[in-house]
Amino acid sequence: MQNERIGLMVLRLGLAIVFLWFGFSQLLDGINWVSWVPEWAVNLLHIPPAMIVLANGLFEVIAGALLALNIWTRWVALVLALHLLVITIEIGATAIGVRDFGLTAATFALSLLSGRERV
Amino acid sequence: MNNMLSIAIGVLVIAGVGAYVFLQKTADDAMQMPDMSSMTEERAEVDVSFESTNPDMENEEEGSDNSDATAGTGSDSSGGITAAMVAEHSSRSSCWSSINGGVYDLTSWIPNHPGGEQAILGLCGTDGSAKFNGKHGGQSKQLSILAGFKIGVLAQ
Repeated sequence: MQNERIGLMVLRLGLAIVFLWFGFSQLLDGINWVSWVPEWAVNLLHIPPAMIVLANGLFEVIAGALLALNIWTRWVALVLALHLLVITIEIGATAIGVRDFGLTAATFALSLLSGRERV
Repeated sequence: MNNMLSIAIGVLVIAGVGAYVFLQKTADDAMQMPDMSSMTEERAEVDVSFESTNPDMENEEEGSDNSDATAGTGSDSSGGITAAMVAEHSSRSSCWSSINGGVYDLTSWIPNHPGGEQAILGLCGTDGSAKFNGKHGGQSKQLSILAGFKIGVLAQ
C-alpha cells in the first residue's frame, strides 16, 4: 500500500516536471516552438502561432503546477492526457510521436489511479 | 502534515523547474551572443562575394528596402555558400549544415530538437542530406521546420 502511494507520487511529480519544463520553455523561448504549431490550429483559432505557443505554455505550466501540488489531479491528468493525445496524433508514428504516446498513456494512468486520492 | 509536505514538494518542483528552464535559456543566450557578431561578419562576406559576381544586383537593391542578408546568402547558382564555409561552422556555438542544396543555421535548434541534441550536432559543418532524408525524408512538418533555418543555398 505504501509502495502504491509512493509510486503514484513518483508518477505525478515526474509528469508534473515534464509539463512544467515544456510549459516554461514555451513561455520563455516561444519563438523556437512556433514551427510546431499545426496549420489547422491556426485556421481554427484565428490567432497568430506565437500566441498559440504562449497560451499552450501557460496552460501546461498551470496544469503542471496543479499536478505538482496534487490539486484536482484526476481531472487535470485527464485533460492533459487528451491534450497529449492530440499532439501525439498530430506528430504521427515517429520516434517523438511514440515517446509522446507513452507519456499520454502514463498521464491517463495517473488520472485513473488518482481517483482514490484526495480531490 | 502529509498535505503540507505534499504542497512543499510541489512548490519546490515548480520553482526548481522554472529556475532550471530560465537558467538554461540564459546560458544558451550567453553562448550564442558572442557568436552573433562573427556570424554577421560571415554573412556580410557572403553578401560581398555574391554581389561581386552579380553586378546587376546593386541596381536592383538601390530602390529596395530588402537589403538584409537574405539576398546575399545566395539564391542564385552563381552565388551561394560554399561547402568550405559550411565546414567552418561545425560547433555547438555555430552550427551550419547543407541539406539538399540549401544551407541551414541550426544553432538555435540544437537544444530544442525533440530527438536530442546529438542528432543535430552530428550535422554541424557537414552535408546532412543523407542523415536528414534518412530520418525525416518526405515528412512535410520536418521540412517546414527546417525551412525556418535556411540562410542560403549551397554554391555549386
